Amino acid sequence: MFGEKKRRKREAGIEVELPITPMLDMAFQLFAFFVFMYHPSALEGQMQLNLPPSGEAKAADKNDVQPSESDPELKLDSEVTITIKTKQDGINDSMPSHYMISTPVDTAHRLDRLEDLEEYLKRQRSDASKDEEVTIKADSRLKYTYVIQIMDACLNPKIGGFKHVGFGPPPDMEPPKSK
Amino acid sequence: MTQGLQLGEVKADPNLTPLLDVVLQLIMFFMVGVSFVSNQVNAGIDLPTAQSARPMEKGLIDVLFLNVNKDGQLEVVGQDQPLTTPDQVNFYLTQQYSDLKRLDRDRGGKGVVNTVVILRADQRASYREVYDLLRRVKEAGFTRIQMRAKTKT
Repeated sequence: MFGEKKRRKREAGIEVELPITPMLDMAFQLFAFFVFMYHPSALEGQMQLNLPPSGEAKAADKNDVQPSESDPELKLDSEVTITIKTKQDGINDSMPSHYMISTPVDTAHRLDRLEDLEEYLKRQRSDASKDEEVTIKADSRLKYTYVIQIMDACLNPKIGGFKHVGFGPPPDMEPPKSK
Repeated sequence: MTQGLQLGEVKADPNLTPLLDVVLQLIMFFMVGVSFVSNQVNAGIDLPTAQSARPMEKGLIDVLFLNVNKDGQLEVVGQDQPLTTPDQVNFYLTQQYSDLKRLDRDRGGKGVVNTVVILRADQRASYREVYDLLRRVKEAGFTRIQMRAKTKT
C-alpha cells in the first residue's frame, strides 16, 4: 500500500519521504530506557497470619493474663505450639538448635532437625483438625527466615496442613516465673 | 538525500521500516514488563522464601505496607531514616489507624478500618523485632495482616 502511494506520487513528480531515521533513533532511546528499567523481581506471595492475642501481647507473663468470657481471644490457647530454640551462646543465636513441639497428646517433644519436625508434622497431619491453630514461638535473636521456614512447613498441605498460624512471644523474653 | 546522486552511482537506501517495527514491538514488551518500584514497597528488603506463599489477591486496595529492614527497623515511605524507637513505631501506627478511621467516616462509613497490613520483613531481621511490630500493629487496632514472602519456583 505504501509502495503504491509512493509510486503514484513519483509519477506525479512529487516525492514525499517519511524520515524514518529520527523515529528509529527515538525508538532506540525508548528501548534503551525500558531495558534499563526492566528488573524482573522475584515473585512475591502472601501468607495469612493471625495476630498475637491481645492478652498475650500486653502481658509478658502468662500468669498476668486474666481471661474473661467477653474476650474470646484471651482464652484462645493453641492446640499446637512449636518453639524454635537457639543455643543462646552469643555466637549461634541467630540459628535454630532444636525444636520443641507441644500437642494435646504430646507435651514438649524435642526434635533436633527441621526434617524431623516436618516428618512429625506429616505423621500428625491425619489427626489434626483443619481449623486447628498452630502457634510458633522462637528465641528472640533467631533470624526471621527460620521462623518462616517453620510457618511454611505448617501451612504446606503436604506437611502440616494447618490453615491458621500465629506467632507467640519469644520464650527467652518472658520474665522467669516466680517460684 | 538523492540530489547529489550522479549517473552510474549506486543508491543504497536501506529499508528501515521493518527495523522500526521490531524496535517498537520490543518497546511494547519492555513497557508492559517493566515493574516500576511501587512507592510503598521497598525493593531493598530481602524477603524470606516460602513454598506455601500464595499468589497475591488482585482486588486488595486498602492496604498498609510495613517494610522491616535487616536491622528490624520500620522503614516508612517518604522518610529517609527508619523508625527506630518503639514510641516512633507506636505513633506511626496509631496515626495511620486514626487516619484510616477518619477516611472511612468521610466516605460515609462507620469508621471501621478494614485495611490489610502487609508485613514485608527482611529475612535477616530477628524474630523479636518482627513479633514486637506485630504486637504493636494489633495494639494500634488493626485486625487483618498478611505476610509477604518470595515464592519458590
